[in-house]
Amino acid sequence: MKRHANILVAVLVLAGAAAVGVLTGPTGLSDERQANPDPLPETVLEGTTPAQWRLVWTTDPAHEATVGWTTAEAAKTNAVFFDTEPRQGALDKYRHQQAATATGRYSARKPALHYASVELKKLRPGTTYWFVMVSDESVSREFHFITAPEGDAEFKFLYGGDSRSYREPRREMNRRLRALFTQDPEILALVHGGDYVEDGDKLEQWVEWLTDHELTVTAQGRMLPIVPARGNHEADSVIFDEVFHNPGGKGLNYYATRLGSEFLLVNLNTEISAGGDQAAFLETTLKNHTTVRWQCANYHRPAYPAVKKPGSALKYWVPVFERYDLDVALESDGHTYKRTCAIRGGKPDATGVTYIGEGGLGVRQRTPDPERWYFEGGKVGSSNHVQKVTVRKDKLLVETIAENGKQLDTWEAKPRPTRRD
Amino acid sequence: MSAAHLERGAAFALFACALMVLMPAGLGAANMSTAQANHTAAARGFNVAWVAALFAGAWLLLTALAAWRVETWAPALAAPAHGARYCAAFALAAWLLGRARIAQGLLVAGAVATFAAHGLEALLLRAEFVDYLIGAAWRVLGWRVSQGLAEGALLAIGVMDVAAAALLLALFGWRKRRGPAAIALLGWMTFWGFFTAAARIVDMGWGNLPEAMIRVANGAVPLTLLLHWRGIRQSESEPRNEPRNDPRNDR
Repeated sequence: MKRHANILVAVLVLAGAAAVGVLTGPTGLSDERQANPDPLPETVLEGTTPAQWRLVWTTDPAHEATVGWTTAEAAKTNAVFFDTEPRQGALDKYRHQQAATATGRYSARKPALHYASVELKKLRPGTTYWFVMVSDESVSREFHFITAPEGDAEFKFLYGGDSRSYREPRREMNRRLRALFTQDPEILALVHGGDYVEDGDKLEQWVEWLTDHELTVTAQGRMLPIVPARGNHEADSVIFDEVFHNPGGKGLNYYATRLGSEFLLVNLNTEISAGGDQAAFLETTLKNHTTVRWQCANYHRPAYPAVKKPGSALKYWVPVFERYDLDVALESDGHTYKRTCAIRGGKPDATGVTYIGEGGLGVRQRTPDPERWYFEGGKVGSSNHVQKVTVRKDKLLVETIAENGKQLDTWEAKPRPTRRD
Repeated sequence: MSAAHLERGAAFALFACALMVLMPAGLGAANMSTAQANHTAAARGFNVAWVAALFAGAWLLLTALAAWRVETWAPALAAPAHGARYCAAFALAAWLLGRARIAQGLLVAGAVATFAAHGLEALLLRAEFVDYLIGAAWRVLGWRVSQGLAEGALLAIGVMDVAAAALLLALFGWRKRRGPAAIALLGWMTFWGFFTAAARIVDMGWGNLPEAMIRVANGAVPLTLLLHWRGIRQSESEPRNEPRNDPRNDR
């Protein structure tokens, strides 16, 4: 009897302590979500019909692009027919064609699907290319894309991460991307911060993601190029490399993207060693581009997170960012939106680096911690979103836009005086 | 209720657990035989320490299972890697209930699981561990270690950890397990468990102290086994004048 009373006392003490913790916890933020009831037709995955297309940019998007797609059955031949004029899919009229660089069955037991990747090289900068994907006798509709500009150009791009797990919000965000892309032809590409799917080894999830990605194509057939980074949910997934054609090298996935002569984007991989070869690559890249006006980095796990603990970027990359005066680091993973104050040496400093992002391309949003010191003078919140980055000669503007189109935050930077010799 | 609320609630409950384990019944039990402890604690009406230890173990096991669920890199290793933590708490509960043999088995299982899982992670070249080696070499020794060298060292560490886990498991099943070899093995595991826990501070400074503290069990569990086995070995070598009074004791 006494023993039972003791247990009861213990359980009551524990329950009381837990209740105190729960009741004194932070309150949640609202998750605004607006449904868009307008579904777009998606390509049916059957036979050798090219479906789930993607256009990937890596190091030199002014001159190169990779077109990838999926087929239900293996095709004997896969190729892209392309031209600088629209040809409405008449294959004999296209002036160029390029056979597949890589084909194969995706590395998954099921479903049994096949990929094809075609590298287009020696393209002209700032030029519209019209193209169709051809697998055996099956020809896709005609699409087009615009290569990145050359020289001291002004342009825009979209940034976002974390499009995993929840399909309808992801589709809603893809419709938002399409709306922005349609309204503003200056937008060149989508820089993705990783976490496309819940489990990067499950092809069925990639199938859904790729199908939803079709929603980003405009009604006129302009395809939104993607600059991919690997997230922790892709971990060491081989399918990531099959979908995006080994960006930055198979399993490595770090590379520098040059947009015009005055914008550098360093894409990093937080799923492999940050302090080894990758840190050396970052140092060398920034060192070799000290005179480039704008410098950004894109990677998944944040150095200055809104929700979780800092990733290895804080220790190994942030000192390099600060040494070379990076303008903005684009981070994902937290499922919030955020903008830190400018940071240098672990404290606020107007000359420091600003960290923006945290991921909201259709993932359930978390409750951020607005009390963290680096949000003093910054902004943090909980809403699916995308960042629109405007690159001008005299400023870099980052707008955070919610899935309903509402502007959540803006931030502007001026060119650093240290950039020019 | 959000995950943050749940975590905060559990944090408060765990603090309460720590206090209850330190209460006279729990603390006092450490200095007396199990039977005496049970008797004294029950007499005082304070025998709540084992409930607290059981709750702490259950929570730590739950977080380990959650890690298995959410971990994206080698998720199967996440739950066993936490083994020393939850097994230590469960072992404490078992010991406070007078189940010394079960407690000992739980400690061995926890140490084996943690060392084997960490060893396999090292053999798979977990990026975080590669960076620990690179960072520690730079911070402590001022050496710039290449990624290739760090990966080579990590493979060696992986072999060592898996071997330690296998040896401990083999020794536990061996009749003469309390010999000098077992003591040496547990001594090494104690050192390595504490050393790798402290590496979190070396890696990211004192701000990472909670990360190191939660891994204290990685060294504390083999240390407890070492002290226990050594104590038994010493008492066995002494002449016995009195019969054992507790049949559940592991001696």
